[in-house]
Formats: sequence, structure tokens, C-alpha cells
Amino acid sequence: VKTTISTEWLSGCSGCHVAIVDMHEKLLTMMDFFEFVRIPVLMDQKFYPPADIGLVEGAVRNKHDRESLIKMRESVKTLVAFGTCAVYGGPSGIGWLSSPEAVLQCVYGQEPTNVPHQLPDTDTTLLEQSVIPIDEVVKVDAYMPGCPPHPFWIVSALGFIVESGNAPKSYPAKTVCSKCKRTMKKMSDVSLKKGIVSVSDPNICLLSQGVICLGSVTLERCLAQCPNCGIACSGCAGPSTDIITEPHLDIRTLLSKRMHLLTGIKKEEIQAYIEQEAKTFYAYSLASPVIYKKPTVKIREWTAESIEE
Amino acid sequence: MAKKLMIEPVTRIEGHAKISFDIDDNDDPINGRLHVMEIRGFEKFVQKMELGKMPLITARICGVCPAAHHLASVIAIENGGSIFTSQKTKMLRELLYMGHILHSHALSCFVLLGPDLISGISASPKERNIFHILSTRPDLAKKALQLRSIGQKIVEIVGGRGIHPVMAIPGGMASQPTCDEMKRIFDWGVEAIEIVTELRPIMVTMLQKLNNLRSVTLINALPLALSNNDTVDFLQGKCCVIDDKKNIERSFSVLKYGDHLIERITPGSYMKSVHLRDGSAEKSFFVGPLARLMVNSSFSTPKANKLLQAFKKSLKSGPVLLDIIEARLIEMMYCSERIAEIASQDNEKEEPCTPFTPCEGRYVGIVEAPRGILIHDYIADKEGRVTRANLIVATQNNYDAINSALTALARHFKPANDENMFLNGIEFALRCFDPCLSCATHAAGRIPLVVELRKNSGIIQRIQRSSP
Repeated sequence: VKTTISTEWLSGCSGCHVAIVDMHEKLLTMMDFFEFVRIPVLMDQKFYPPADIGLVEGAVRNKHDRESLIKMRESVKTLVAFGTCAVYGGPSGIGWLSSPEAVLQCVYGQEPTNVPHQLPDTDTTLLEQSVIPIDEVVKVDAYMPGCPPHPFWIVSALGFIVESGNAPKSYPAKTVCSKCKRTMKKMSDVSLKKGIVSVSDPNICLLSQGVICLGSVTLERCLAQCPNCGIACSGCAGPSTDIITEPHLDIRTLLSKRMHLLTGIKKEEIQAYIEQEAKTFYAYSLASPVIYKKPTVKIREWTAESIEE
Repeated sequence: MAKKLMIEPVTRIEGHAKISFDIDDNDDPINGRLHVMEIRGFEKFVQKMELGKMPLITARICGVCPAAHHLASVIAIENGGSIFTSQKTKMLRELLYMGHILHSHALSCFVLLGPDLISGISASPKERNIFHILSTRPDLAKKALQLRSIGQKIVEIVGGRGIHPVMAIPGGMASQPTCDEMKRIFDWGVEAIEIVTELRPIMVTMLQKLNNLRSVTLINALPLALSNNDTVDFLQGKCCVIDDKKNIERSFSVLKYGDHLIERITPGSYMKSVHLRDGSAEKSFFVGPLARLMVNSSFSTPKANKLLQAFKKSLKSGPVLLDIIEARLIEMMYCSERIAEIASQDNEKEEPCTPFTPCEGRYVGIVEAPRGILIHDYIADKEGRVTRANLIVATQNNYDAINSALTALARHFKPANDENMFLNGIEFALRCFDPCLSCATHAAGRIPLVVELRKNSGIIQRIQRSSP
């Protein structure tokens, strides 16, 4: 008997669904073990048939999202928060910083192409007051962060869910650095490179080169593709497990400490820069209480400028 | 009696939407309208973020066409900062992009819309999906999926990631494929040419079965596309519009887009429609594969160009809905040929570019996304932070044409007749445009399909698929 999978897409970009198709040849092998009973992107199935596993992509932005999510919860045995938006809010969660009115004002009221003073009519007033991860609405059985999770991890996770059944086992939870081929090296005469996402040396850690890379504070669900090709990790799979489980550990404190040891740049300088640019460095997880409820994290304060209307 | 017809949710398109019609006195549907029910608001999200981070964060607008946003963004920064890019950089980006278009078009042609052609518009929902086609036509389906995989694997190698690529930075590429990888990409290019050569005629034959729809699905709007000296180009050129006599109606550089385009809200929808400014009046236009092929007179590669010339001859009257699919098939040939061409060139190693320091100014860029022109426009303050962003995406540009096509097919299939056929017909009209609603609202989407029939502003009927 095949394990049945049902999926749903809330406020997200559909990238997690494309990642399913990106299993490439493995998708065909997977079909021997799994049956997709609902994938809104690929199938004409508009209802919620019962399924063993439910994959939910996206955060909850409006009342449709909430209703669909509840229907998914009722129809599946194991509900998986699929991708960073579902787990932490992800890029959709950046909306958590602004009121819905401010978002609409910005999208519909700006130069140079918008007709002045227009707003969507009342038929569309479905937005909720904020954007939230799905476990704020329903019970979630498993979390699969990643933006999107690399297909390698989707195959791995689905297999793991089937094998482990009701007995939870441990699952790999290392940081991005674990798959990065670069070497952390103590360097001198390095300055903090602001606004820069790439480095020239292909073998040395980005932190050592003065570029803020979130790899050491981010869960690896990506095969470390960004740092391996010279681009700083932007933290898109959300924080590493130590940050999730320990309230007093945070992205900026851990990162500034490590970078200070590698480069000698003052911890305070690094930390101040991360706080100043919190909207970018916390972009993927700021809508999650895991982050904003930390005693020292003041996301709204740090990004205050950005929510001025 | 007040009538309104609505379809929800629309499956197999990229986004969350419903559809409605008004019903006239003869009980015929009029005023078809796609309602987009989602909004994320990336224009707001990126405010106060550093300009240099835009190519990374804006790619996350869409999981289907992230490469388009990634490159539009980096090109905007380079345009605004007068940053030079080498021939090698241009070549790598084009390679990445051809892989991207191939993936997106193959997804549209074979996975999303393909089932309508292969199983037929009248087939039951159970038969109209890629999984069913894998069991009934495994030969066709596996090759189609392989074609998409080739495109996406190229994006992963050249762009650094398959979904949400990261490799393009202002002034260059963060790293380059190895010679081995280039060789593999070349082989994929050759394989893609073979697959398109085999599958395209099969799809065209299937399209011909729908010839009865041609007379009812005329696209009544002017094509707008990038044109590089009258040749199709996805990453550079001027915006060009042609009129129904094939004369140039207007041509402008992307910096001037604000003088030519205007965005309006539409009732009951988060998606804005875009029109051409025409003095105090406005004109409808459409974008995408068919617009690119109509505006330009040639492709730079031999096989695609030959197909294009034959296609142009067959375009006797005005463009119709089905021509979009054929245009997409021809573009897949172009992408495949370009992939093989680029990957066969010398793969010299290039020195990394100097990091770019952003400054106050305006940064505007354009690319041809798979579905048509995509514009990123940022204003940055003296600290290099974005203070305002304006994003115009392909599907918005097609809003008018989409609504006309919905009305045309609704009138053709009529709600009172076979309900399944009616719903499928309308969804088919939508899928021809391959609308990407993730992009369109810089949002996301569930894909509702409820058809609402309205009369005198009241809803008289909601048609949606009955429970399985």
C-alpha cells in the first residue's frame, strides 16, 4: 500500500512545490512508494481527501489560508510545516513588521505607474492583522524548513516519516557550515564589509573575509550551496537548533562572537550592524515567536524605521 | 434575476485566484474576471533593505520564476550604478536564463497545460494531471519531465541553486561552472534539442484538435516585448509595441517605462492590471512568448528561426490563444540551441569583479520573464538602502488579455451546458497564459476555482466542482 500525500499552498511563492518536481528522476522512483492525492499546483483536486502525510507550504496571511490549513489538519495524519514560510513565516513573514494597511498603501499608492489614491475594494478585505507561521493555528507534527528545502532533504524527510511511524527518532540537524567546503581561518586586518554578499577567495570562510554569512547559525537544509559558490548564507532555512532550543542564544550574539574571534572586528560593531539591518538578517524567521520572544531580541525596535508609515 | 458565475479554486496555475462573470439578458457570460486573492507586498518588504541584497531577496517572490527576478534585480543595480559587465558574465547569465526559460516553459506546456491537450479538455479531473499522463503516456511524460529537469539542473549549476538562484552579483557572477560542468551542460543542450524536436510536433498535432477554438479566442491587444535589433532577446533590448499592421506603435527604454505604462486596481482583486498610456486614453497590451515572436522578426539560432518563420506565415489573421502554446514550444527550441551554443564556447576563468558600493539614485532593470516583461525599479538613499521599490510582473501585463480569453471561452462552452466542460474550458483559457500569481501580487497563491455568475451586481450562481 502506498503512503498518500496531500499538499496545500498558503502564503508563499510555490517554490517548495517546485522543489517536489525538482526531485527529478527520483520523483518517478518515489511514485512507487507514495501517491499524491492532492497537489493544487499539479492536479485538479480542489478538495481535501484523507492522506497519511500533509505538506503545507506558506504562512497564514488571510482567512483563506487559515481555513485551508484547518481543512488540511483535519484531513491528514501527519502534518508537516513544509518550507521556511510555514515553519517561521519565511519571506512572507516580513509582512509581520507592517500593518496590512501599510502594505496596501505601499503596493497600490506609489509612483511612477500607480493611478493615485487607489486601493483594492472591499471584496478583497481578507487579510488578517498579521502574518503567522502555521503552528500558531494548528498542531504541527513535523517541521521541514528550507527556502525551499533542497529536494535531497525532501526525499530524506518523507522516507524518515514513513520509517519512524509514531516513534520519533532523531533527525540530522547540523548547521550550514557542516556542508560548506570553506575553511574557518583566523585573519587580521579585516574590516566589516557592509552591504556585500560575496567574497573573492574560494577556500576561506566568508566570516574570516569580513562578510556576514549566517551559515554557522542556520540549519542546513540546502547542501550549503550559497557559501560554496561564494555567496553569504542569508539564513533562509531558519535558525540552528541551539538558537531554537535556548532562549538566550541568538543569531546576532553567536554570529558576532564567532566573527570577532576570526577577524578581530569588535563584537559590538558586528552586532550593531546586524541589528541595524535586522530586516534582512532576520528576514526568514522574524515572524516566529521562537525569534521575537527571545528576551534580548527587539525586532520591531530595530526595524522601527522600516515600519514608519 | 441577478446572476454571477464564479470558479474557485483554479488549479494548475501558479497562484491563488477565482473567476467571475456577469450574465447578460440572453443568459450569456460577459465581463470575465480573474480575481487574485493573495497579497504579500514585496514593495513594502524591501523598503530599508540594502540595495546589494535585492537580487537575493526578490528572487523569493516566486518559486517558478525566481531567476527572472534575480536577474532583473541585478541588471537594475548595474543599470543604475553604470556598472560594467564582461562578455563572460553576460554569457553565463544567458546560460542560466535559457535553462530557466526551458524549465518554466516545459512545466507550463507539459505539466500544467499539457494534460488539457493530452487527455483532452473534456476529460475528467482524475485524468488531467501529469501523474495520469505518466501512467498512460510514459514515453511522452518522461521526456517532458527530462526537458524540465535539464533546464533546472543548468540553473542549479550556473545559478548556484535550482530554486531561488544566487550567483549573479552587481558586476559579475560569484563563481563559474567548471569545464566538466560545462561539458555536461553542452550534452544537455544537445539532448534538449532532440527532445524538443520530437515533442513539439506531437503537441502541435494535439493543438490542432482544438482548432474550433481559434475563431473565438482572438487576442485583442497589442504585443509588447523586448527587442534587440528586431531579434528575440530575453535579457537586453528596448521595449517595443507593434500595431495590428505590424508597424512599430512605440519603442522605449526601460528607464522611460513610467511614461508608457499605468497600473490600475481591478474590482475584487489584489492584482493590478497594466495598460499602455495613450494621451489621456489607454490601450490594452499583452506580453509573453507570443508577443516576443510577433514583435521580433528573428531568432539568432537556426532551428528556432526556421520554426519562427513558418509560424509567422501561419499567423494569417490576428493572434489567438492557442498560438501562445505554439510560441512557447518554439522558444524551447531556441533555449536548447542557445544552451548548446554557449556551453560549447571557451570556458576561460575570469577574475572576480570588485564589490559594488551602492549610492543614492534610481535603479531600473527589465528582463523577459518566461511570461513576459518584468520590471524592477528601486530608489536608494545615500546609505544605499532602498526607499521605494516598484515591481511590474508579466502576469499583470496580461490581465486584460486573460479576462478577454475567459469571457470568450465561457461564452463558447456556456455554463448551462456540460458543467465539467465549462469549468475546464475556462481554466484552459487561463492556463494558456501560464499565469504566475506568485509573481502577480508579489504574493502567493492558493489557486481557487469557483465561478461566480452575477447579474445586476448580485450573485445568482456559484459553480464549483462537486465533491469527488
